[in-house]
Amino acid sequence: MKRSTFAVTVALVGSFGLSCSDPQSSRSVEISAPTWMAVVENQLQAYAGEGLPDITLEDQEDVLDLLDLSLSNDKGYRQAHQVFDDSEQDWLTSVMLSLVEGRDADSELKAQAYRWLGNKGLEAMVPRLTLRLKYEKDWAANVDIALGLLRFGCGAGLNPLITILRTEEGVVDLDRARWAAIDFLKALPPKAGWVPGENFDDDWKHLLEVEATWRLTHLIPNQVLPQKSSRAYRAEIWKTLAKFRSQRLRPVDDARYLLMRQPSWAFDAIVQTTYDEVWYVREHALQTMAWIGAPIGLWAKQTESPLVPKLAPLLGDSRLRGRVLEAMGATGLAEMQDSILPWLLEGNLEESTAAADALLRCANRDIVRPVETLLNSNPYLSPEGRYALDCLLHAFDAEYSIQIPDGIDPSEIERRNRWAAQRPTL
Amino acid sequence: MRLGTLTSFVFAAAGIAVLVKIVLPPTDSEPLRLLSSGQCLECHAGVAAEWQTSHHKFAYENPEVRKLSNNFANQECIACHAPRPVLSFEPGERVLARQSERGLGVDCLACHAHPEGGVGTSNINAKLDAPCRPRLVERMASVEHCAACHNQHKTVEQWRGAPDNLKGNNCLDCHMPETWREGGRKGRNHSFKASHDLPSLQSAVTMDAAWDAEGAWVSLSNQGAGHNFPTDERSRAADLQVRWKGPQGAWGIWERVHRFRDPYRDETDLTNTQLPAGETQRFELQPGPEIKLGEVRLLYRTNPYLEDELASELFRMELAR
Repeated sequence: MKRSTFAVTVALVGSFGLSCSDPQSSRSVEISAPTWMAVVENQLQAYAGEGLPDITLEDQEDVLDLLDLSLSNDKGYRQAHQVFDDSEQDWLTSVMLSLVEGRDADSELKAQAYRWLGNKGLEAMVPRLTLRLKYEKDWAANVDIALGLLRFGCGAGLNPLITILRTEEGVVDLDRARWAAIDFLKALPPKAGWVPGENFDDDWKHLLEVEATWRLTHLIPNQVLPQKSSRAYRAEIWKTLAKFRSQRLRPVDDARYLLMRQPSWAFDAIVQTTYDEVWYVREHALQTMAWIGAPIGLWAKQTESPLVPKLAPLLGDSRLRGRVLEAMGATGLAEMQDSILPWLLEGNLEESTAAADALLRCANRDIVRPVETLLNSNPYLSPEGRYALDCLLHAFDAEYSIQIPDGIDPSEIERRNRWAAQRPTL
Repeated sequence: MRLGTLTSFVFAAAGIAVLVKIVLPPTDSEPLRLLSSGQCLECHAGVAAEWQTSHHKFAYENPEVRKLSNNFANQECIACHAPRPVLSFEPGERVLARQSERGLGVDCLACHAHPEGGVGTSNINAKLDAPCRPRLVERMASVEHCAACHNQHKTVEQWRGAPDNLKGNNCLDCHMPETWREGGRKGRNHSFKASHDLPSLQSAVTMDAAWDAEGAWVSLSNQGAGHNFPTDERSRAADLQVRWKGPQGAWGIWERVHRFRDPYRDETDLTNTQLPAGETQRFELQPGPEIKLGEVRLLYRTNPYLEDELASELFRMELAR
């Protein structure tokens, strides 16, 4: 190489290096990302061949014929149900689920399939049956769904049931659904002094109590269940978590919908998934945790599964950080605040906003001084972050006046007001 | 040292100096730390003014979006209506929601913020020493950049399947046409004209209608969209309607001949009736024997529940026996 060519090359390489240098200076709060693992893939392999079996079109047609027979007369009903009782129950559960999920079955036959699932389906159906709450428009079928879920400790169908009983008009076949819902109340778990079906007001009050407990804990009070969920159920949960890999939003959306409505024994799998090797899987697992909210914090306490050591290392992933902060805050656990605070003080706009929101949802009184100090230093905060901090200070001092910052969307105000209102129940 | 060597050295040094001047950013312009899209206005007021009129700007506040997403109770919708910078994701991958300044919708940083600092651009004439430190990013001119959001409702998939002569090179050809800016610079229009713009809608399809020997008919041809008409799952609908003038001279009510729409996931009783690119659909009409005059029209609705009075009328034609 000639000397002049060499000089030009050196100059070009040097200048390229300079122009590519990171314009952001490093921050004291930076930590390195943890090691990611093939969490979902390993679990899919561990549960391979478990869960509900695959079924064929012929299986569906056979069961449709039997459901048709069951509607013909008493004898037909007995014959069909005798065949059902003699069948492999996991196979039949899978077929019945596929019938209610599909578009082809006649509505009366679908209603029969829902009836069977509500009364006899196996625990492994719970995730997919939960998803029917999102899509099934037949209100009476929703009662059967609620029943099927409740038998396995899942209260996701209780809220739709309350809606059915509160609605007095404007829905097709409402009476049928309401009578089915009234009948359902007898299946609620026992309670001292409550006689099922004796008095509607007592039944109704008990339903509201059970639903409120479910909402706060994802557990059904006084329900006697096996100590551990079945392997088939867990296999279905992992199959659902694998849908977080999808680039199409619908499978992700469906997975989040049903996972956030599962009993608390599904939480451990969701928390494990936050270490998956696929960024989207981690992201959606954290989002699901955030949407579950306080019940996951309560579960962590009750099962002595501390969440700080699980979640804090995830803050080392800059792309994931906002979601980690959101999930930490949503647990409602004040022990999270020491991990969150540095991102309020030193994070970029996204991080400081997520940290402010998280603190609004979980921080205790210890946070007041650092937040006041920060606000006195006139920091650059997003309008959402500023409003969240105002709400936080107001929570500890009713005299503190909340300012509405310029440029904040009204729905963002509402969200933060809702979080502030939920604080006392945490 | 011989004179030739000295001359070579002087020329080489001068060359290096010129290259350094070209390649290295000037030291008097510090890179801007990009915090918010609001900072872009200072230098790009013209672009910002175009964006202000766009539905990208309106993406998070749009009442129709609020209605269809149950006021964002369907939180998955937020990802595309207030996205994190698209360049933080692999090409064509789905974007995720940001936490701050959601009210700005699909803002400057959503499309331009570069994960390594500065901004990305597909403009080969960009001033690379500008304070926002533009970097040439080829994919910004490709459909992959828009696919991050616009393929969620299948538009890019439809474009890929469209006849080549209707596709153009990319989304920009139709939705970000070239425009001249102050100082004679060429750029791309940032008002993203599409379904809220009557001329854009009218350039997408052609309506034809007649009452001839075979009877009365109306047809719609998609020769201009480059994707289905209307595109977008669920939200958009286009209706062909007809009305007839009775023997007493009074117009009857508008009746739907056909609805073009891709239903949403829970509308299990409906099928996709959109008009793919390059296709024509013809509908025979059935006026009563006493009818001599009618009208057909094409209404475009930005949500399927929009009343006729609020929909955009793209075309209207008379039918005479």
